[in-house]
Amino acid sequence: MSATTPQAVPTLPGAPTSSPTAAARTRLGDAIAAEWIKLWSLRSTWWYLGGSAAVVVLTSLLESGDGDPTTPDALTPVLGAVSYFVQYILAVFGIVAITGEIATRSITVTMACTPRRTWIMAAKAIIVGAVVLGASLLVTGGGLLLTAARLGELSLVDGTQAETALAASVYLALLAVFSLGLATLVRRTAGALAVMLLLLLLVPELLRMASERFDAPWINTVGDWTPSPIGWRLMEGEWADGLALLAWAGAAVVAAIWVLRRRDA
Amino acid sequence: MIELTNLTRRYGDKTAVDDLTLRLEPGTVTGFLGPNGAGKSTTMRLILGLDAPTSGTALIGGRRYTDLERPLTTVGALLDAKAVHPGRTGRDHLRAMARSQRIPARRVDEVLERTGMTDAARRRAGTYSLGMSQRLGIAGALLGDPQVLMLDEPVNGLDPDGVTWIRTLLRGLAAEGRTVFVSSHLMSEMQQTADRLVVLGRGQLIADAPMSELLTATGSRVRGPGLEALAERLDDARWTGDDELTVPGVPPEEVGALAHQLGLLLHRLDATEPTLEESYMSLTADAVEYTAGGAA
Repeated sequence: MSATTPQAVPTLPGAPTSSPTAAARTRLGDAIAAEWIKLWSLRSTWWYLGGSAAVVVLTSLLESGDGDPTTPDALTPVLGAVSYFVQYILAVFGIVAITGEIATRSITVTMACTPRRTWIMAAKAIIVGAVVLGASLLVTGGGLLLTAARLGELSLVDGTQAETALAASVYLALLAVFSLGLATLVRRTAGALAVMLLLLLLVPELLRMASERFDAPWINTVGDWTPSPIGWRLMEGEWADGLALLAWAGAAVVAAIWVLRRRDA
Repeated sequence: MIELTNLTRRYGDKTAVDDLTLRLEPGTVTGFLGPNGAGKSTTMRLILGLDAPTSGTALIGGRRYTDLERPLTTVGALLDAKAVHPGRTGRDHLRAMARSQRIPARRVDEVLERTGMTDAARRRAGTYSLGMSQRLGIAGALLGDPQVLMLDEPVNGLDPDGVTWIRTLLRGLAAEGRTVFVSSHLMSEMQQTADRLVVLGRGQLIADAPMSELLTATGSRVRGPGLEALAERLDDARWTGDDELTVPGVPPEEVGALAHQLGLLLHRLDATEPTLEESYMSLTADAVEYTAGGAA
């Protein structure tokens, strides 16, 4: 992201922009650049990303898998870490990207700088998505290599496994963007995290139980389209299902924009 | 230039700002006074588009704030000094603001220098005193070198040096032809800083006048035995002690002459300085929202 280096900027006051579209692109670009600075100037960012890396590294080193380096099961530790721990860490990362500003009221400064609130939300979604995607690629890729190294078989990391790492990263990125949108609606860190936990852990399980209890398979089908089962299928190579996750994230962001535009700061 | 036209904001059944029409001119410091809850902060939030008006408009140079391109280069505002993420350094806070407006990063160091925050800006904002937060907020308001400055209670938490500094700063900004809009509950401070006063009570405009019109004229304070005769002759005279009268608007020369005429003995006779407090109190007497036992 080149956003950190503001290039030859026109000085004050308003340099006219050629067309409304170009102007909009500029506004969004500036908002993204500002979000980028804000993100990396908080220590907590490093904690979330470093924590995710630590979880993956530790599980890669400690989890034994089935010990057979020739099967895709060698990936188990990495995927386990992603689905059990990292997704929650990065969901909170997405949540605090907005609740951190709401709680400290610094959102008013953001809104004074970027009065078009659509740009604020779009910029946050882009930054959160891109940063989580990048960090997850590093972390899952690193986890794969570590696992392979531990099993003494670096050549183990093939295209399929790289694809799985990419899928896991896409899942985490979209989940973080979804969390951001959801948190904008809920406004509080704890509340948003509670909803995320319910949605990721409890809802699919409850729906599965209800489906069995009432002998209604369609209930289970509904559960299959909540984020975490989609995530599993995504990691199994069902890329088309990823569109459903994109829809979850997109809907949350659109709802967040709608609410942000209507609400008083 | 700020132009408010029939600006109204209701929250439920409470009207925070009630049909406010107002024009703020360049080159002047306009003081914004009013009891707590009078709607001063809400008015400023409406101008910045943080809250939406129920009806009416707030325009800056003919445009709504939300339509401004790079708004900080037109309006610099400090509404809430503590509205900064405590985990971020003051400098990073300003860097992000500057980047969002394409203001060159060196401008951040300039405004930090100007507000005396150069050293503190390397520390996280959570460690700042209220005074330092105010300075950071003022640095943020100055960042875009705007023609309009709007500050909500900027003097809060500043030490006496800081108070003098901000007075000089605001006077200087107005002298450069900028529009300065500043709220405060410190009347003596307002009296020294503002050219013009806007007084709000229960969301409504109570007064909008040049400072000179609102200042009481020089009056007198007189002490001595048997001043009842004097009190009878001076309509506005009030007892401010056992044998002390305060006479607003009547200079000591006249009071002295009258006392002489009445053959009264005076122990003391002084001039009282022109004050804003008195006219402010009488203006807002009916509009005080929160009255604590006899205070306000």
